[in-house]
Amino acid sequence: MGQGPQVAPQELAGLAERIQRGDPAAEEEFAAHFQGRVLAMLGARLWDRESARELCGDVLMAALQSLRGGNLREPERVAAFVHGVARNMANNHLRKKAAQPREEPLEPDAVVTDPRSEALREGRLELVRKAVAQLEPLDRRIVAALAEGQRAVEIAVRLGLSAEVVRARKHRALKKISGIVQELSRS
Amino acid sequence: MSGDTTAPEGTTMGCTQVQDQDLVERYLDRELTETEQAAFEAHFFECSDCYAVLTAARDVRQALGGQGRKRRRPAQPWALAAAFATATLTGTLVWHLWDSASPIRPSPPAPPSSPRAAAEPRLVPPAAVLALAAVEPPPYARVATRGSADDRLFARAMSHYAKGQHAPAAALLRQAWERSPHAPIGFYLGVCDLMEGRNAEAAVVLERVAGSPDPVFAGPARLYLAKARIRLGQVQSARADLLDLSRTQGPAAEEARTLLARLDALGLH
Repeated sequence: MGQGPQVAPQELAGLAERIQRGDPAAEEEFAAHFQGRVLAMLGARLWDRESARELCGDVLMAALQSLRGGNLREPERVAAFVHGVARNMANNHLRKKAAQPREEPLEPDAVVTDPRSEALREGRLELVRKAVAQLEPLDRRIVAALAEGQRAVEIAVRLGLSAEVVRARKHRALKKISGIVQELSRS
Repeated sequence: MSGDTTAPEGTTMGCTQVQDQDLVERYLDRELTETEQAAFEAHFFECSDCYAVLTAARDVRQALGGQGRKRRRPAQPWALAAAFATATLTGTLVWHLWDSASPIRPSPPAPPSSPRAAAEPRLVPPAAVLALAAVEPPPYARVATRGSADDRLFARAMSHYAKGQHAPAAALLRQAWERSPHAPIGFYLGVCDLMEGRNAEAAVVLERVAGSPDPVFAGPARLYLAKARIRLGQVQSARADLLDLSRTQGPAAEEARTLLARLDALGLH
């Protein structure tokens, strides 16, 4: 799932202070916590997995350098700080791309992807499929409709439920999938 | 930092809002404004539960082979120009009395497509051709209904439609269409499907309306059917539809002639 270990807000503030003091373990914790979030955000904003992956490293490095330099005045706001860095860098990336001549899309066969990251991704998606299979039948139908891009209102009409019920079940099912995938990853 | 229903410190959004407003799906489909997008990101950077739901929703789409809604990339100048250049129906289509409108009969199981379209190999059309299939939903003005349950379902659907909410409109219209296949329902269902990128479904329903004797909707339905077929890569079938339509009268015929000329200009004749 790319979801790092969960760190409490006060621990995040402590993390910023430890990074400033030059603690290498703190930098690893920082990367583990924010990598997935930054990647999720860049993936959604850039629509390009490879660019998102490349830019994610740049964002984490830029944020780390600022933290090492003690440039964050409010350490408890480290999440907002990283988000701000990521947003600025994503916007810069999009601006630069827009200024370049439009690229013709490549044929699918011509797209070269990193086999190792593709294998990791496929492995994670397999775990997601296993997690979906463990859901109750109704939740499986909701999640399948969600994967097709349907909204709660449409799923509700299709299944004869209220939109509120669909939203609550969907939210719970997705959290459950996340939990099962984490558990399967560990085992 | 997880599972609460209030906004994490420093953000303005709570988990309840994320759930009630379908923010996760709308974020993945790029349907949020920049302000909403930034607020949601600020939230999931601090909220573990919403971050878990976001990554699970994204992974489920990939794992189950779904692509979400029609993906909307940031508008490109060339695409905008093409959209503006594409003529659209200018007349307001009106809903007429259900009592005077016959349901579309016969109603066989919907074929995937007409024999003509089915026989045509599907080729991926170039961007210049796809630009001709840009769809602007025709405005809707209600004139009169008789107040039946079917009317109320249609009215609810069109209330979504009028607000540009094509997904819920389509869900309700599909329900109404299954109950009573009247031309106006099928027409607007086809338009909503096109707006949502469900081109094959749009083609099936629009083909039925286009083949009906309905004096108001049959012509426009054939026009939108042609656009659906262009998107599906069935350019020759689309051209035949446009040719048929161009020999009739009315705003849809005028639009058909314009589109035909544009197809001809691209060498597709």
